[in-house]
Amino acid sequence: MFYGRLQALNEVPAKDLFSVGIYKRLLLFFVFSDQFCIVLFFIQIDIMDLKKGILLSSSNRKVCRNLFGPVDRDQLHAEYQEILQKVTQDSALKWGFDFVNETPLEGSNYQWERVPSGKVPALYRSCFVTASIQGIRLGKENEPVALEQTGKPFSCQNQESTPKKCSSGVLKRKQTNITDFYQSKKMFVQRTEKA
Amino acid sequence: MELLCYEVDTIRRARPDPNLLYDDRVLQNLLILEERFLPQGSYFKCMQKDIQPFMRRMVATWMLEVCEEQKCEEEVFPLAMNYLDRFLAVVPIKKRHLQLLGAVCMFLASKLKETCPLTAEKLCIYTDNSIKPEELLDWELVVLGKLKWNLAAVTPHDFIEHIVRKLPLPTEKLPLIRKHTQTFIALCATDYSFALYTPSMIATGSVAAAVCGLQLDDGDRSLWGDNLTDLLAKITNIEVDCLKACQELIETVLVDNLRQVRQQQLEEQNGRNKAVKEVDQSSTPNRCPRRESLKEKKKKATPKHLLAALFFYNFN
Repeated sequence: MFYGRLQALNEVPAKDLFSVGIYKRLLLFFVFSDQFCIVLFFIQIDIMDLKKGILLSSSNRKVCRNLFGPVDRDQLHAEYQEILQKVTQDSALKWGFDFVNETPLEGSNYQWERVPSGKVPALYRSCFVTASIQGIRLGKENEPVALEQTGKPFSCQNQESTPKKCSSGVLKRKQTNITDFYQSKKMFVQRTEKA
Repeated sequence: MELLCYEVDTIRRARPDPNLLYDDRVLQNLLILEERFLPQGSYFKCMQKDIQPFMRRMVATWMLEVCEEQKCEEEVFPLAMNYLDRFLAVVPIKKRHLQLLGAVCMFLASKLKETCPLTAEKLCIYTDNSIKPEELLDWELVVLGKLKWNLAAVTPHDFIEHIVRKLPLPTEKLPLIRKHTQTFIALCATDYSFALYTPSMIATGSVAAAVCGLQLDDGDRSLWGDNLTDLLAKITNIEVDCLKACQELIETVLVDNLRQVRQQQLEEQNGRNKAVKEVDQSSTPNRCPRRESLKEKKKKATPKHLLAALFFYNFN
């Protein structure tokens, strides 16, 4: 009886079938568990695109869906605060630094030293986020004025770039020009043109 | 003169770098590194009280669907599942917040792997607006903290090329083998049984399943049965028995899914009303067995096509 079924399956054009040999054992499993019709069941499916198929069974339901009912906002926020506090505490212990009050903790393995923010690369300065929150638009990166606005300790003298603008203390919105950065090159080009 | 815009929205990709893919040191380093990014133990037993394995599968299926619909990079989904498992291994989570966590993990994985990552707003829409973008961003920070900012986890995808290039495979079959391997990897990521497997093990098992599954009948016997297993086990330095066990587990998961798909199909055939009556109530630990189990079955039923790969005609 089984052989008859297998034979029938073999007569199906090869292109309709998927050459999957791995599952001989599984096939036997199906045959003996009398679920062999499952094989025939799938024959019509175009199986070349397996990836799409992962979702085929769910194609009749929408992807936008809420899985586990409404979210309890208060509880969610409480949990968030709790975990965040734990994370902050852990990192404070690990690094010996109170990241909330920005002070070193005593008795840690690290010795902390204050560095003027102007001495660190722009990447590590948090002034831009704060500045945008305050509604201050800055034309240029590395603009030191923003740091003064945030009230954090900052010294103009330590700023690597554009100290002149800093000293004026006036917030001005200025369009950045490419020539601000490539002046020398431009002059070079002009000279060559003349020559 | 009119200006023409030739911009197209296809993503520009770098070419595969032979220095990375054809150097064995890279593979060895991946094998050393991968252990660091495994979840710490089985969290359903000791850490989580409110959530259960079938809920993980529900959220995983949803995440996979979102990734598919948004055409994310293949790696995004397994990577997001890695974050999810690692987070769940250290923080107990309420069932109601599990989807938020899944969204956060996709958000992070997408940022790490894609040039045009998923936006917070989009992800919130996919939760049917049950979460807000601010919440997503809040929890992003929390997840990052708990993962100790170690996001560049090794995924099974990192191993595919390293494994495949060492197999004597015909070049024209490679794209298909890669594709099937990726699908098997996605299947593994949806199933909790694989959560504690190393990425190299999952990758090797998936390649084995793909190669066997496609049964390249070019007469190359070196890729048959035990030969293939031995060869693969050597490539990623794993025990032959472990690899066999992994491959068998993949097959078992396939069978389970196949059964569910079939059951679902039968239910659809028999009509909804009848289907509700037929649902096996014993499989669901929920308060409202009938509805929940029906829902769950629908959600559990994952990869129909993949499962359809169970077509085996080369038997004698």
